[in-house]
Amino acid sequence: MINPFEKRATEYIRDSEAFLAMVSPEPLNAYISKYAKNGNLYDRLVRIVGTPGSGKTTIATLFQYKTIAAVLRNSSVSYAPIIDALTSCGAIANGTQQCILGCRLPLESDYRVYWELPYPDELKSGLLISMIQARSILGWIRNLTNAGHSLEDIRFVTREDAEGAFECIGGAETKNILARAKEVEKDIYLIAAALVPPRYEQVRENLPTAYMPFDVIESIMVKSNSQGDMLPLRPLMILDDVHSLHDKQFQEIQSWLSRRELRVARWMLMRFDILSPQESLNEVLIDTQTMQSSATRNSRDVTSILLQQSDGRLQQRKLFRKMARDMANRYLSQMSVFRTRKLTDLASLLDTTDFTLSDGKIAEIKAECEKAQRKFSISDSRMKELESSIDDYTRSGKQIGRDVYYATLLVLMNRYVKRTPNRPLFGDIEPFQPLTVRNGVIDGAEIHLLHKYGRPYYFGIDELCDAATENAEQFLHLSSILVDVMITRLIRQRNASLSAENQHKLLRDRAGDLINQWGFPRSHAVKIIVDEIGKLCVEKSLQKNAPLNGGAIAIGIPQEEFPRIVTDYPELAQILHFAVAYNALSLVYDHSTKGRKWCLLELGGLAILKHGLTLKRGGFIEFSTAKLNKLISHEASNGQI
Amino acid sequence: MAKYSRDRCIEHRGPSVETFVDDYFANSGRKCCIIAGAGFDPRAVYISNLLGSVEGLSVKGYYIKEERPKSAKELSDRADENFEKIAEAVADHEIITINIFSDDMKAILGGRRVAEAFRGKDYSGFSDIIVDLSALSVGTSFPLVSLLFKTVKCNLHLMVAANAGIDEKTYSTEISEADLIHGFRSDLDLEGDGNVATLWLPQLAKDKKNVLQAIYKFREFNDVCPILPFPSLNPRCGDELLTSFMHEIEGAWQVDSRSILYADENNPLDLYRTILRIDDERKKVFENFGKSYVVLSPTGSKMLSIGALMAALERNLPVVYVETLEYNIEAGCASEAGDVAPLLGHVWLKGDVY
Repeated sequence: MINPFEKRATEYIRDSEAFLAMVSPEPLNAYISKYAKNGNLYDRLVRIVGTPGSGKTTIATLFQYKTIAAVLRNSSVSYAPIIDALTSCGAIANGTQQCILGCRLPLESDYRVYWELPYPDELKSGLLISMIQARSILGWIRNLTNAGHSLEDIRFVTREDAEGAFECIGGAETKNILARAKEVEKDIYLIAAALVPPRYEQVRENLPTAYMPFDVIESIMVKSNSQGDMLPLRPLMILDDVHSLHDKQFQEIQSWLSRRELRVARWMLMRFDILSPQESLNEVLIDTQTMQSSATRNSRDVTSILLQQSDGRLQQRKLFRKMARDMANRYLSQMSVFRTRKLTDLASLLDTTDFTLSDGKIAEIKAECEKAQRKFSISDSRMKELESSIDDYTRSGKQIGRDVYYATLLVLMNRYVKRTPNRPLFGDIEPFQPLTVRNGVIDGAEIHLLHKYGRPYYFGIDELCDAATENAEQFLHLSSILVDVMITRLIRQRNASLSAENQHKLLRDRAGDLINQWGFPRSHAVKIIVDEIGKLCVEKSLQKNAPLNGGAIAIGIPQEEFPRIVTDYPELAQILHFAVAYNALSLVYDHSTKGRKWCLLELGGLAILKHGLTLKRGGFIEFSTAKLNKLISHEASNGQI
Repeated sequence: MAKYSRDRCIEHRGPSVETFVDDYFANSGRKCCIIAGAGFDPRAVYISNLLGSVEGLSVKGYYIKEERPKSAKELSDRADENFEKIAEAVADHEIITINIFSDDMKAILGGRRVAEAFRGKDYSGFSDIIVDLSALSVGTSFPLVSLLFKTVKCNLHLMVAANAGIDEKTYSTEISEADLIHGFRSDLDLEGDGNVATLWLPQLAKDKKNVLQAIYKFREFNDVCPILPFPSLNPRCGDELLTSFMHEIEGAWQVDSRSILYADENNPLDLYRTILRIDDERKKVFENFGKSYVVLSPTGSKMLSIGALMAALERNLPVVYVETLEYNIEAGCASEAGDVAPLLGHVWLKGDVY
């Protein structure tokens, strides 16, 4: 049986209806719809930037003509959220009428190789731009013909000032426009595909001159009913994986598509890879410095949308949890083994019943508390106060087991000692800062128990979502192992629910495997940095007084130092560039602590799971770029990276 | 010059390769050019040594050094050691360095660069050109052989020194995305052709699961007929591979059990003829239904990759692969290789003999 959690729906489902059954519209609501309200989605270049697995291709697929047509021809209630999301994005009008004709062009490596042809830059760029336009025309027409329209039902509408240029793209009739686009595509394809490229003179002789349909096209009309009414559609070209292009190609394409006179809607989807280390590291920096709208850069010519935004993170986390749950439940409903048993809510299959250590281990922790009391000479009355503060916490409705109780008590005792540096040998004084028990302290105690006794920490749907670092693909990769085990249990006629222990072990093992499988550029160096940061964070998190509550999951570099990384440590900048691009680390700019601004390099969810760290954000270790560079310089000198 | 065909193809395996080399080249007045890889692979040395030891044979060698980013120092040292041995055997030689990736790591250019490097060379002084595939990667060797096959007017041979034991001890890290080999794109990527039917023939191989998954993701082939090596040195190889790939075979690839192909692990002609047979049958079915492509992925042994290459050259078939980012080899593997004679293979692609 195929486990759909092992692959994104967009990667293997070609049928639109099947795709729609599994995709969640939440990314549209979260990231895209706000720009439609401002009219910024279709009248200018839109750049959508995100890490791998952040949902770019899913978004692109949702906007394809065939997908929207499938949504509209199916009156199933289950599509209502998708229709609403697409309507709010301006792709559908009045919930019933399609407004855009979207086609997705993945810019795979065969576009990048045009830059390697032995021709002047201008010619190389020209070949690329003509090819993109030819394939866009082919894509739009193919979308319409696959939806059942004949070529006679389709009409291209020119801009008022461009009628003469229509002839250069084949003329007014769609069949001629199609033929011309095929011809242009084949001519350019053969140049790039040739074992040895043709000479420049030969290319100039045969090259299609001035093939620029985007300068000419205003809209595309298609016959919408038997009465012959024509429906106007705004053509939308979505260039996916733009990061595959050479930097100069990227600049040329961006410059070309930024032109306001183009009527064709155009989106570019890319990873951080395309940006130079300077740009990628600064994209996050700029992102938090901008206007009122979160994580965007809007200009007259370009709308920039950053997926997995770095500000409003708590809100992002909540949104992602909602999206991930929705996605998981849709995937489960596609699997007959779950569907026939009506088990289509992943959250309900992840047992969150709190785990408590054995009596023997609890006795050990209690004995440790008694030993600490003797060692630190803490009075009985003080102990009662500390215990009372824990009881206050549990009285507020949050129950904890005896193991966590004593572990928390141990933390409080150590904090008391830290906060009473001038405590007399006999007697009791008040700490300089009151000791209160909140979620953070409990979290810290649980992390201590995780490391000392292997007490499960990672279980439940929220923890699973948080470990995905707001990345849909990572969420699926982590969930897949849990779902696999559930399937096995069902086949063996057992309860599908996974215990906390099971979930914890499976997720940690899976995270380790996924990290070992990293194969992106500089991944070896990234693994070293991530491991070193992980070890430092574990050391900090296991300090007996849990100074950072749940502990550290990041290192912090003084804000003013960070922008100089690119110039002072170019190798480090490149490694960080790929670490951020591939979700191994996140950058959090402008983090304020102790009256100072920091840039945090925060571990991704996989590293957090692997090293046994808290999923709560905020804790970090003060660091510097020089120290960070030292982490890799030792390995670099050995030729290891 | 006449070339091989399905019914007429000169090939040798094992000890008969050495016999052929001796009979054909010794004191014959022939002038031979060998093009081979100059890498860490212990097999890189064998064919050069073999030719270098032939009496009265004039040999010129072009040795391709495939450069990948951040190769481990240990492998560079091994490559240098190998090359010292090669230089002793073939005194007249030249090293050609080919950077496999572009500077920005976004494009795979090894195939393009090797074609460019070898297109301008003058082969008129040679009677025979031998391409030694032992230490060349698929992304480099396929375009090279294609170029020579189309342009040279002398005898063209393929040779390989295979060692399954070394194959198992050689590890590679691949990039995450598949691509068509340069010069073997056919018209597969043309949007104007619409949806064409594709049949994928992947060679199943140990430790290549990620590679084959990436290739499947590249294209979403309509049908898949995996190739298992049988007969093979390890008689259980096919079973082990089937077990290893069961998830893909029964899952995403949806392979009918009758669609599994078997090809002799050490006989490239077996696979070559099998692919041609399938292509012929497919043409008959699809001639009235639009275009169809048989797509190859030579991820298995070197011998089998020769069979795929021959079929691709003859029928202009697309070949999809995943480029390697870095290689590594188990410690001690090189000295172990010296203890075990490799299995030699030779195919005469074009020449007087036809």
